[in-house]
Amino acid sequence: MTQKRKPALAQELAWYETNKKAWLGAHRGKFVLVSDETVAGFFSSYEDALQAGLQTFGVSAEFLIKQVVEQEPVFVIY
Amino acid sequence: MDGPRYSRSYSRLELRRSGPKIKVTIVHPVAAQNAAKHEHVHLKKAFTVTALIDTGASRTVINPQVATTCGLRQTGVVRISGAGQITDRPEFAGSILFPDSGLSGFDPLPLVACPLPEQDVSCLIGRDVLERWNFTYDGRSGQVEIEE
Repeated sequence: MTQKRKPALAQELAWYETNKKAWLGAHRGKFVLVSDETVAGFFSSYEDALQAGLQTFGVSAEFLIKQVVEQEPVFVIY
Repeated sequence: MDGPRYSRSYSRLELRRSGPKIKVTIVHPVAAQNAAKHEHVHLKKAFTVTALIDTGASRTVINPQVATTCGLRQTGVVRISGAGQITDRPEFAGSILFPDSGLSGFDPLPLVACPLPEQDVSCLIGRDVLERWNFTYDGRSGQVEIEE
């Protein structure tokens, strides 16, 4: 039987959804950095979060960078 | 303003038909390149493609093949409305350079991967980049100008 591959960052996204409500209070608008179920911090910019992610987890590890917002924005592209 | 300036002339018909295009190079962010060097990890090379400057796109988008070719790191998922439907698409950490134009690149720039309908366009330059430029589209003369 073939095993279905888990989508990238599925665990991190689930962890984000679980904790989003709690984070909105103190970290609204910040960029959270998550790997597995570990939060490495909240940052003012995507750039800072990326830098911290590479330093903390290394270049080969998966990590999620997500802006903490109440409602997910929908970006129109075409 | 006296920043770098890029201009290109088209025929009126060409500009109307295909839109303003620019050559872009998609590459890993400098921070990732430095981390890879430090950890002795090999990263895939930069990839140069044609981009359409698209005032209708709120984000800069690349074809998924571009992300694969460059081996970009996925850092998230974003919700995209395109072609009449809303879908979740992967977001990658990249950098964008504008070779042979004199324009400065943007590093890092989160890039959304989404299949693009036009065969010769592998990137849409969206308003996340346009907000940093003065962009002039003169449909009568066919002149397109970008000023930093």
